Amino acid sequence: MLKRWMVLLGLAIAWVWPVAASADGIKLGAFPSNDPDKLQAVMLDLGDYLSEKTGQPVEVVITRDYAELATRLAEGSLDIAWLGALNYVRVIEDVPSARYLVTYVNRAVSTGTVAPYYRSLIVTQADSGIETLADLKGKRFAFTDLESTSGYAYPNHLLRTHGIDPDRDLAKVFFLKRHDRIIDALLHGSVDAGALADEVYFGARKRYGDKLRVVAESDPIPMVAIASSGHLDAETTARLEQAFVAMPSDHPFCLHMSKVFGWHAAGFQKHSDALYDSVRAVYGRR
Amino acid sequence: MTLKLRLIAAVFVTVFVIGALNLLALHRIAALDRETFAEHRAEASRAVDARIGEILAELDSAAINLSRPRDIVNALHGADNETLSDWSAAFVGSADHEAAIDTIVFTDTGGMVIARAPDEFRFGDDVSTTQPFFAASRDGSFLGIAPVDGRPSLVAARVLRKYDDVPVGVVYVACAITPDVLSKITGSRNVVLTYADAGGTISGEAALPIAHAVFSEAVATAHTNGRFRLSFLPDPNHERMLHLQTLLSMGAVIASVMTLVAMLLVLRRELAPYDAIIGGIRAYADRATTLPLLRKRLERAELRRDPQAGKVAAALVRMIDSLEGSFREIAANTARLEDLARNDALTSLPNRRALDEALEAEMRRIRRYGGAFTVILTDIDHFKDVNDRFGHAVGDQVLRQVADLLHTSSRATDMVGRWGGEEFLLLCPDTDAAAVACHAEKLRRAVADTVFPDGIRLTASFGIAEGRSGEPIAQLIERADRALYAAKAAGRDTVR
Repeated sequence: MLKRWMVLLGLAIAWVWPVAASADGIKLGAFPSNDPDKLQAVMLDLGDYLSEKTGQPVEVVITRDYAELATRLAEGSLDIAWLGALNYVRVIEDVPSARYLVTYVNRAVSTGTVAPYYRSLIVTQADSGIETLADLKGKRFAFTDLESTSGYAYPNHLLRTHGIDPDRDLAKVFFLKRHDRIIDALLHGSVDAGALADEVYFGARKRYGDKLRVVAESDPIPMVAIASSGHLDAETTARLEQAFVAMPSDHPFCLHMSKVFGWHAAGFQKHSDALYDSVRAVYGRR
Repeated sequence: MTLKLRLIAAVFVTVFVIGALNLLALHRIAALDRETFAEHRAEASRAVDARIGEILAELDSAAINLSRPRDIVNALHGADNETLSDWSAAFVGSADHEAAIDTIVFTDTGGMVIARAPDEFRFGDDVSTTQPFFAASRDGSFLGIAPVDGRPSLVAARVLRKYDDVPVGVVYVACAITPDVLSKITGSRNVVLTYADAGGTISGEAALPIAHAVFSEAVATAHTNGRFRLSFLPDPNHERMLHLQTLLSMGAVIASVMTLVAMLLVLRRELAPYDAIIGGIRAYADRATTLPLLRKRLERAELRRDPQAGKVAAALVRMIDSLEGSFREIAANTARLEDLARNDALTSLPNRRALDEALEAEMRRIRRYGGAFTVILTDIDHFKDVNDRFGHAVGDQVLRQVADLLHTSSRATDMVGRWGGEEFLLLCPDTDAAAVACHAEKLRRAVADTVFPDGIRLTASFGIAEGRSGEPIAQLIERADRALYAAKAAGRDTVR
């Protein structure tokens, strides 16, 4: 709660003393969920691309945390921000001036389709006998992390909407942190089912064949969003939007993304803020 | 013989005593070694017990370290498998001692495994019925030996508590009792530690059969469901000592026997001449040999090289020689005495006694076997005149000459003897009177024809009598005497 108040205080101050964005430069902000160096390396690629396309220098800023990023977006010392779906929803909530710009898109390796979203899958062993979500009652279940969107928030929501309370109805709930560890635990029979991102599952299917199967899949989980500060002028905003959407899928940034994070980046698409409504539903926001 | 035995005994006993003393000393050393071994045994037993205690203490401290951090307590409470795996992976195999931690298990309060190391992805199983979980849940901790994943293990278990109060689960840290761990606990190649429980036996030394152990004893340890046992394999030094003992024992026996044999051989060689001498004398004493044979034996003995024995034998031979000389002298004297007793000293003819014996024998012969014999009694006519005119010396010479004449003129089977004075008797076996008369006539003429010394001429008268079976000798002689008398009466130089 204290954090929230701090953010609001920061935003209030930003409102009173707006700091104008430098006229000849665009600042791209992001905050690290795990490795700041990796993130910065990819963001530099993106910055270079945008700089080339808009003719304006783009500076990459890695903030300490979410609060710093939100505050700076509100005060205009950052022009655009790279935000995960949940953090995008929070920013839109916390910074009313912030606007949706574009959505990062991925190419699903399994299907080859390019989409602005992915899904969380409830996976079990081929011979487990679990056919429906109701069969999970009394079974051992694995999420990745309480903070994870595809590894906890969406599958948890999916279970609850099907009348299963993970705290009460499951024999034991494990948190395995990483998606690939869910695969290992399933293959070892240590859990009866687990939740994980579809890309990880399809990758595992290539390696382990049909030892695993899907019981259920979640609603689409929207990909990373690019939000823009309210202080950014319309012309620059439009130029940036065009630049993002125009990024070819074989751009070094995309290759770098797949190399560093394993995401098969395919550029960006223009959607709308409504794409993130399922996030709001899952996280119980607004 | 007894000297030999005594010599042998003296040497043999000495050798035997020296051998026995050596063996005794070795035995004493071996006993000391055994005492040392016994101390070593007790020491090893204590050390093993202490070592097991130390390992358990290390496991316990690891369990404590894994039960305290808030991170771990929260992770266990939140079933955060990854955090627990990370923590336990850091502890597994970390001990740089003999007994590394090989299993760490986190369970929730219901006994379900939340995380395990090193089997990172083996969890979600139920261990609520295992002793470490059960005991730790009840008492807050467990320290001892219990099966972990089917293997008997040294285990330390602790309860994890949220707010240091509310139990959220149990951690246990285990080190399986493997042959490797057991052998490292003893740290000695000669000591084998085994652990046995209902599930079987684990030995610190798979290659060496414990049946060969010199000594085996249970290790007194408080922490166990099963039983630790220390087996002491043969110590090479002790083995060598025992081997040496056996070797020396055999050596002593062999030396004794060889000494005995050597003594026997030497004594046989040295005493053989004396043996031969004494043996000969003993045989003579037992009348088993004669002096000549004894002498031969001694001469043989003399051939031996021993100078002393040679001298003794030579002396004995000389003694035998002189004894035999004396014996021969005595025999000769006896023969001469016998001759004197039966022969006439002057004429060397058988005397009257010898004639009597011969007549008796002849009489016995004809009585038993039949046949006949005849006697001729002869007397030199007027012999007294010879003595008177020419002296006794000439008379003796005449007598001797007549005797020779009669003897040489008679058959070899006839016996001629001096009957007394100038009378001679002829005994003629296997002849009758007629044949004898002829013979007597021949004798009469021979005497009459002979010229005696000094020109003496003589004649002799002859009386014949044939022996009759059963007749006394005296009667026969009487008849012969009468016939002689008749011849004298008939003018002498006559045969009647």
